[in-house]
Amino acid sequence: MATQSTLAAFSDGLTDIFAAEASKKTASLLELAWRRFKRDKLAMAGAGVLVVLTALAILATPISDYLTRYDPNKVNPLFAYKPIGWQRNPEVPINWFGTDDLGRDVLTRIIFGAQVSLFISFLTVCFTVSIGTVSGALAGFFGGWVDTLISRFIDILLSVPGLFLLLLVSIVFRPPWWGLAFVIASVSWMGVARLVRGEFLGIRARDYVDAARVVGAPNMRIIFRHILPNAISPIIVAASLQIGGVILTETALSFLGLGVQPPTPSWGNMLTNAQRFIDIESARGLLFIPGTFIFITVLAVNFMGNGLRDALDPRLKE
Amino acid sequence: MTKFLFRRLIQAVPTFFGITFIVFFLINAVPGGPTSDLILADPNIKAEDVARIRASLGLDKSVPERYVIFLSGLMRGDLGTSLIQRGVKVSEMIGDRLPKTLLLTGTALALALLLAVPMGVFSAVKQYSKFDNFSTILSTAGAAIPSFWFAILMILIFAVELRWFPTGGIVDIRKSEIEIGDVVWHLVMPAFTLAFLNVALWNRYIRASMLEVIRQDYVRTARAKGLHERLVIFKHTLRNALIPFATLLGLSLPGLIGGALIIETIFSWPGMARLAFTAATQRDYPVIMGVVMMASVLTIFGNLLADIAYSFLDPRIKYS
Repeated sequence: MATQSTLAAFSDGLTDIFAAEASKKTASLLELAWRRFKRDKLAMAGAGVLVVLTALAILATPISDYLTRYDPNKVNPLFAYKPIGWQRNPEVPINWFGTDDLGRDVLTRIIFGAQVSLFISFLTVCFTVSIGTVSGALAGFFGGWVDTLISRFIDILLSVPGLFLLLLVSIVFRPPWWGLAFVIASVSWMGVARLVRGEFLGIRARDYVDAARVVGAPNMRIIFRHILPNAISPIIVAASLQIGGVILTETALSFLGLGVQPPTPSWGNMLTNAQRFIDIESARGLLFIPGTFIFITVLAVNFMGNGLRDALDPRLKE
Repeated sequence: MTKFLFRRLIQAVPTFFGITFIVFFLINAVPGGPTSDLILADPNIKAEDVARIRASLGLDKSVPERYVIFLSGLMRGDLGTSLIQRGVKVSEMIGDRLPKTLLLTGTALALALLLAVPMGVFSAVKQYSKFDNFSTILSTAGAAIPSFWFAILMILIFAVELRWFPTGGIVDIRKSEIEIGDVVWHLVMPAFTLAFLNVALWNRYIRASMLEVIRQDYVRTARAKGLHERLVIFKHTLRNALIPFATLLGLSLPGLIGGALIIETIFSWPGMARLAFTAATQRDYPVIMGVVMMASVLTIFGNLLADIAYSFLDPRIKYS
């Protein structure tokens, strides 16, 4: 027993030395990846757009106080459906994107919508990656009945059309807007889980995993210190490529009235009534603006994701 | 082959029961139910009346008991009756909606294949040509555009502005009888919208897999022995390039059926999606179960078809 713990301590000391060496190397690998990423103009443009949108989202309150000078939920039915760039009189601020069916300022709502949509998407991806990584790691590392159980469960979830499942969960649980992230994640973690399982199956057969086991490292340590770091770049790539889909899902749910509930603005629920005012000429902006923002954001995320994939995992390059 | 199919069918059975289990306990996990609206409708309703109604709907039993009752009904091919529209069988409700959903998704699938395969082939054969660049842009845009927004834009352009197609529905309600031409006319926009989103994805995939095959030795051999280029492309290359695509096709079926949910809502297409929607809001448990079952059966069946197509396209694969 004593020998084993000395051995484990010794191995831990060794791993720390190796880890220190490895971290030097990781930095340079990261640098290499960053250099590759920088060369990709589309990816850089996408990252730039995202930085701007994130800044808008974070600063939504000061922006609405000092720049647009409108409250996102201030209703003013007398001035509904006003066109882009409308100004009631020179004393009041301009409605740059016009007003919606209740006379609210569209630009302000778009900015607050960015806050809601981006935050939900970010949270969803965090949940998706956590659930997917843990279940995939357990299945891939332990194999046997654990693997069978998790893999069967994934097969079952994949056989129900995702949107039907989402419809069910969101109607039954009526989640608040931050709970939506968990709901979307609960039907979209299976891809990451399969990926991580595959990575684990490949890595757990390596010699250094056997070596770690021989010196008595506990399973959790092997999983998190020895295997996971080696599987991290495909996980990052998969996560970044999933963000776009998550944004589309969130906006679609909110559009259907199952996601973010009004009056909280979301890019999706801003389009919910779009069909009703499709005939109103001056309200065309209401139709185009939220959709364009979703489109540009997803495009930017996808470009960035592709760039990340090429930078982190050059083998996967098309 | 028959043996393989049989085994796959057997494998699908536990998956199917897994779905019933998860969905059943999910929709029953939250308090409330079809009777909670009764209290909203009439605040003076007596508690014993609510209890009586619950008992008549079979809701007084525990959830596991109800699950067993549901399963035994399922064994007899009985999906139960709606809790809201009393006396109407769930199978009848689905039987009414399913053909309409199948018409929409089937047409969209066919349309998407007819567009995506030639586009992908042409892009691969003429790599980096103007057409290839155009289809790259189209695919990139198609992957990022929200389907519901695309559908609204389609309505704006082709129904509101140009007035070529109706804005929604399946038939013109002013007409007394159903004409096939009228249905087709109503089908064009929703089917095309649903198809477009898949074309964007699939034509990239076919292009990539064509490019992979085109570099193979046997394609060079086929060319070297002087075969006509058309034969090389369509027989030697496309057939092999479609093999991995068959799997993708099977995998994208849930997306297609799920996508139909949004498209049906926007184009007021009276398919299963709207049934699912109303049933879920009213907590009409048997109808929800029926619809989710049906959607899942379609998915499982689609995957099975993809497997068959797989072996059909690739004679090297023999299932025994």
